[in-house]
Amino acid sequence: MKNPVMAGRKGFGIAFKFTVTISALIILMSFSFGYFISKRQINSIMAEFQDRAETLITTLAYNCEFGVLSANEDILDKAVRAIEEQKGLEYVLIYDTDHNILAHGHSAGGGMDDNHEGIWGRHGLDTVNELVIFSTALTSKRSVIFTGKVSDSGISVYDISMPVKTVKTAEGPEALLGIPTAPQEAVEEVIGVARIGLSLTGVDELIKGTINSTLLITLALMLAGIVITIFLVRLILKPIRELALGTNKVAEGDVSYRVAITTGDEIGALASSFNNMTESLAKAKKLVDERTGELERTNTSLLKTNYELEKITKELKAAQAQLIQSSKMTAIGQLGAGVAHELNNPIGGILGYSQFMLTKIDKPEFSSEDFKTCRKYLEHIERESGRCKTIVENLLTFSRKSDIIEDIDIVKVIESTLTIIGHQMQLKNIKIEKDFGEGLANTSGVANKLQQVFTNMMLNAQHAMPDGGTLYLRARNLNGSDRAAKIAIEIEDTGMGISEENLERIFEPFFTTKQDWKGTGLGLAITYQIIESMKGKIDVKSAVGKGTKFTITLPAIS
Amino acid sequence: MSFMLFMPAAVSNPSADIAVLTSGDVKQYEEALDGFKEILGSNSIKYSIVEFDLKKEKDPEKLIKKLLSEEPHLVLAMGSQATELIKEKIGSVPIVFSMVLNPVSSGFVKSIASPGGNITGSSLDISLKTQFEEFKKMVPGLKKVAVLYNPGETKMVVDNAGSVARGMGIELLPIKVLSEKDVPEAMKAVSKDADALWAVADSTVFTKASSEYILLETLRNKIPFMGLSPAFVKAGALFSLSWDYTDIGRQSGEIALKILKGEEASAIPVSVPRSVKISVNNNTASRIGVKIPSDILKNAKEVF
Repeated sequence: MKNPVMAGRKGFGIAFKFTVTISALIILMSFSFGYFISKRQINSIMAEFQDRAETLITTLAYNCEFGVLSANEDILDKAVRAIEEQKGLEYVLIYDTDHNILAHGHSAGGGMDDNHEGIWGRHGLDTVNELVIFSTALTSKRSVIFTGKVSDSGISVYDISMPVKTVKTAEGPEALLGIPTAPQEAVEEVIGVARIGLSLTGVDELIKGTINSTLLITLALMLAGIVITIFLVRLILKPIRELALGTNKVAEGDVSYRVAITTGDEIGALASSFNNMTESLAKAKKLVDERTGELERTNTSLLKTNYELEKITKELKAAQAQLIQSSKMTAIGQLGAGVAHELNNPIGGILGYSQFMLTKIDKPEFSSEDFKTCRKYLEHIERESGRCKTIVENLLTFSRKSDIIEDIDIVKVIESTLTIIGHQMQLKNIKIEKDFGEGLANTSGVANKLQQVFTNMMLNAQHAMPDGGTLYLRARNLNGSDRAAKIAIEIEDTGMGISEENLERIFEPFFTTKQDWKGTGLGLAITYQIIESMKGKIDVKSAVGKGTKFTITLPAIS
Repeated sequence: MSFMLFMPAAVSNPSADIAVLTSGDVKQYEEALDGFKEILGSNSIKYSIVEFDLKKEKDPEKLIKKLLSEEPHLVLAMGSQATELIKEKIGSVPIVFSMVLNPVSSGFVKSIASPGGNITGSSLDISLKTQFEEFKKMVPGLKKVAVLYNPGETKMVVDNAGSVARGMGIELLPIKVLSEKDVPEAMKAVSKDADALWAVADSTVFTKASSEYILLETLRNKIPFMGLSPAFVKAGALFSLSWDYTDIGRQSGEIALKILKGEEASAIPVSVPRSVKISVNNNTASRIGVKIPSDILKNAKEVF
């Protein structure tokens, strides 16, 4: 079965790591255990063997005391026979201090008549070591051990020798009667050497057997350990895998998935926490879904609102345009009397000249002089009519609703405005001073709207100077630090000025100070908006009683 | 070194300073000394005793010098070693020995009856007659009794024993043993030719090793063996005679008393044990097929 948890994972799994690590530990421990156990066993076997050899040789040496003392072959032979049957005994030798063999025995039995060479040959003894062993045993107090291979048979032999001793004391004769006497020290005398050779074959086999069985047990333990480890690791990892699977499912979005682990251990607790978490996730997901729905609905309504807002904005813009137009018409209304005056003069002239001409034409005698005069009047009429036409045209242009963006010659717009408003200024005793710089750059925008601005500004200036004054109109190119060239237009009056607190508010819609004059309060607000729409700026400086100066800065086009 | 002073109350009798030289701080000597003191005490002798122990002194010469500096009236020597040592060094001071085996063959005295010199005492030598009588009681129908001996050491005793035995209808079969080497052959001869084995205190024959062998052989070959002492019986001999050490001490005390009263030591015969007990080994008896008579068993000092 392909495990989705295992799939796509790199490196070794935890099960593998666990199993390998623990198995390695088990192997290491088993072998160490086996090694020490077998080592102990071998040591104990060897110790037992050595103990036995020691006991044998001690007993033999003790039993030989009188036999060696009396050099009695029968007695010694008995002692030799007594141990000859001992398992693994290869040979028994009993020497006197002169290295004469007093008795000897062999696993295969032996006689007493042989010479040294014969005996050694029969026992397979190494003649080279013989004297060394003998003399060492003779001079030592305890057993002497020599382990080596017996020359012929090739059997490993544990050779152990011990001096045969007797105790001589110079006691008084009463000692014979059991009365202990005498301060004399007991003198130990070495009277011979007892020697045995024990075959190591049995021990070797025992050791081999021990090693084999230990190895077998070790291997069995190891195998059992590994099998148990694998089983345990699986047992432990099964719920973890289950959990991992669950996590995957949840990650894929299946929050209804529940892990089926009911064990009371830590993993059980983890599974229970997992299930709780999944449940919480499910709840949270439901909540999120609900909120998302709400949000979508809100979004839809917002879009709707937005649309409505846009519509309102559009309506507002239309209203604003309407407002500008109305404001313009208001201005025209205000201009009405001035324009009438303006028109009145030429029309009066035209009327006068026409009446003059009619009287001339009705006379019978129409002289050439009269003709000249009539012609002169007609020229006047034509001039005055042209003037009327220009005034009316300018008024029309101003009142026309226009959105055409074009290059604007600022001086032309100002002059056009003056044709409408100039006469009014004269009537109010206002002197107009113009100062337009050479080569003034054009700006871009709707000329009609800019004219509305100038009209507003000049009317405001006129209202600020009820008793007359001077209106300065200036325009010049500005070459500021930023390369884009600008045009500065100044409209300055010598009127009453604006107080500082009012100065802050003059561009607010519906703000007005004209109580005696019907103002809408929209003039400067609209002015501000138009200049801003042309990417320009409007500044005001004013001193009460001295006058006000508006500075309009507009971008120039090259 | 230990000094012990005894000052009995009696005033009218002669007083004496007695030096005691022992061959060792052993139980038997203490018993004997008790017997010795008992006799002196009961005779109202005012005496003081200074004890010297050979076992505790490495240098015997120094010990003797010290002993003599006490200027004793009499020296009591316990055992052959002490007797031997003091006999050589002392001049006019009379010596009473006690617990000594074979004082004649050791050369301490000329004979049992008249010791000669300035020395006499009580020996451990139980009379040969008593010995053979007891042997006959133990082994009824005893005819041939073997004995192992080194002529250089015990010829005299064995010769005497031969004649004593003959007088009692027993043939003593002496077997010469010149060294331990002869013991096995001698034991072969014993088992071949004799009904029983008797023992003389011969140090050539009874070494530690050979004693074991002899005991073993007597058991193997079912030979009734009369040991030298209860120690032998304990080790497997059929029986032995044993001593009343306190009584031997008393005998020594009696001799000392005589000397203190003015008798010449040289004229006082050496005493022999007068109270003899018997020790038997029941295991050995059943092993070798000897029925120990009930009266012996009843009177036995020790039964192993």
